[in-house]
Amino acid sequence: MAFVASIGKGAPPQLPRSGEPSLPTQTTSAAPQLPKSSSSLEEIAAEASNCDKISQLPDSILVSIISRLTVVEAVCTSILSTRWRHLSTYITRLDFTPTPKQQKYFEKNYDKISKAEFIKYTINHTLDSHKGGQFLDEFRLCLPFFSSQYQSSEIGRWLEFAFSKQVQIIDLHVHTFFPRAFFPFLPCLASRNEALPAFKSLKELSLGAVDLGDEDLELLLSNFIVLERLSIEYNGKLRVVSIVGDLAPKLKHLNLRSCSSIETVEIRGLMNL
Amino acid sequence: MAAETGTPTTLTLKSNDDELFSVAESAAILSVTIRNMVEDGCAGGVIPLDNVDGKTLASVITYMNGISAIPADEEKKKSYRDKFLSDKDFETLADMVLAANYLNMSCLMDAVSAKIAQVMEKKSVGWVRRKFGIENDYTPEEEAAVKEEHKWTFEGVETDDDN
Repeated sequence: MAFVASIGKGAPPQLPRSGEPSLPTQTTSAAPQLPKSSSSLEEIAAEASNCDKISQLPDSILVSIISRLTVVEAVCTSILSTRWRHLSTYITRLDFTPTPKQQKYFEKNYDKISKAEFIKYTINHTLDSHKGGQFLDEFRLCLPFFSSQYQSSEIGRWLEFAFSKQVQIIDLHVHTFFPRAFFPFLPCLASRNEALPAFKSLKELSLGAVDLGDEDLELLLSNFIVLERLSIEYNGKLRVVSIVGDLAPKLKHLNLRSCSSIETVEIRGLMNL
Repeated sequence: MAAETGTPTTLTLKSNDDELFSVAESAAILSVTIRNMVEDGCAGGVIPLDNVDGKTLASVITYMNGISAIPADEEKKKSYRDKFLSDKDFETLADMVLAANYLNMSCLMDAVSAKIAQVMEKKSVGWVRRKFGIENDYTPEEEAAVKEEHKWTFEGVETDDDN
């Protein structure tokens, strides 16, 4: 399979049907159509089964479609046929939410440490084999089987991956109230002076059960200068939240929920909030 | 290009089956491909769109007019997109995503991609193959190799059942 090298956001639009005459399937366009009730997803799929039209779409479009699925679902499409084999390594949204089925299976078959190990391996494997280039639309890490012993250090590596791309949305949720993860922002930045690509691209950041302190928050806001939405939930470290003046010039939405240790919140001079 | 005079400018677009469509420039430049042509000054006469047929172009123009009439309100734009796509069959969606790709309209491209992805969500490989008419051209050995390659990801995911 020939794969276009320039796939992704920066790719020029492809010209998939150059020179083809209009398709025979479109000859009925002039007939007035009766108002139709919404076609269900079942109906859409039933009509699609006549010929394998979906596999004829260009790579960039198929990647755009499977980028809407979770990582597990996108990787599953590689078994469909040889046409689909490598497409999932180019997806532009990485959503590591396990499927409900997978979650049940894990609950039944593995202890806590093994579950955490599985998730860790899956994420590492996906990131190592990812070929998406410099752009990443979304990065969603949902860790239902968090084990601080095994995963705290990994989170730093995973976020570094996202920060090294021009990512727009990062969502990191640890699904246990205790132990929490620590936001590894400081150590991951301390070692470098140059600006990360994500500084100028990140618009949404959502952290659940991830602890970061007052200084971490300030550092975060002062670096991610185009941030529009910030959500922090189940945080046990924030005490004095102060967002003043031009610290977050683009911030439109701020959500602080279940942050038990907050004493004061000061928000001043934010034009867009 | 008469944009500087303040009067609304109308563009004429031509489909690959020679249908002509008039559309307000302000709506048409949702397409980056068309916007570039306008900025380069080559939109004076008829703009030929060699990769879009009349039926699809008519639909895309309906979308352009509808979405550009909505003020900057992401929620309203989203519900317009949902409604616009709600009665489209797969054939139409496939034509539309190709047109959106050619015209470089990211918002339409994203919306149609999401709609097609919804069909595949939470479905097994076998189901998706059957419903979309995808022929499995792997040899059993190749298929086993692909599964082996992603075996950690597939843990707990039944890839062959009918759900």
